Amino acid sequence: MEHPSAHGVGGQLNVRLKSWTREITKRVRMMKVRFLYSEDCPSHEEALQRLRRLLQEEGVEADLEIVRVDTFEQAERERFPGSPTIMIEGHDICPTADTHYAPACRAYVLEDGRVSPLPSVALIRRAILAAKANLKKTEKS
Amino acid sequence: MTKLKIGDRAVPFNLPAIDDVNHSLSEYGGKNAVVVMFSCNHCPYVRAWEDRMVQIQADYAARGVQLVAINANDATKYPEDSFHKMKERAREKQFNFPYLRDESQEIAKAYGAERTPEAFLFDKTGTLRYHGVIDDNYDDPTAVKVKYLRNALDAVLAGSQPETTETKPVGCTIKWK
Repeated sequence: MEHPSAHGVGGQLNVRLKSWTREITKRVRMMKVRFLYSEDCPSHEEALQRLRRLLQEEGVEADLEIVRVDTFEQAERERFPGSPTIMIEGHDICPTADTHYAPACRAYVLEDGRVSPLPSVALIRRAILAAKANLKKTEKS
Repeated sequence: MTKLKIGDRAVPFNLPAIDDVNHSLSEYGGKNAVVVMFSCNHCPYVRAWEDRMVQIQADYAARGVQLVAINANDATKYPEDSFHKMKERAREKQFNFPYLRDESQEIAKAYGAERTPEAFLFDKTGTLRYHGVIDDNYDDPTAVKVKYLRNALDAVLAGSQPETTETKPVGCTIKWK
């Protein structure tokens, strides 16, 4: 680590600049995650817990925004196909062709074909890992 | 909105069903038990549980049990719950019970139903003996620990009081107009 006194005022500035750069880079690297939910659907609490746990398990520092969707107008504006919906880096973790936006529960088809009001652990994890890999690529380039 | 309480009498209904005829509660007067299940098409909780609904009807039919599903959701705002879509769903999932449409939502209100699925179990005298969830795990049928509705059916058919008479319904809210 560079000591400021070694280079006088210029050195101190240099160290500060490096520190700021590190801080800015860290902010840029934070994964943007949006969690949209409707109070009408009780699965949101478990889904949010699941999301937070998986972000932690994968060592991802995320900028997590939680959005409550109450009305049809808001659902339309947010392009919200149902609760819960998780957007990572602007992408729905389970892209859907459904354009009926409503404050209602969302049906997820699990890996074994069953329907659930919760996105599976595997689905959320895959989306986090894909976004993490993309962020790494962006940082390198 | 009042909610039926354990010991209350069933509220009569006469509603159109997916077989294009009306079905009324009085049709099931000779049954040993009737399960009135508020249900719908769009709700993932219903979809997670509906195979179990079909299985319950299959397993208990010979013992004089009739399950009747009623969809009261506002189909204007939730088109997946339209009468046409109800027919499609019943065909696809091979429903072995009547699936009724409560367009005016009066029956759902009279029962005090709030969610889908939500079960009301009546004994042969038309008295409410159990109200609530089907079992304790919507997500994984293999991980169910307590089969509330089946347990209540077994008790009612044996002429005794179910051990658990009420559970909190888990599912989507009924979509009121």
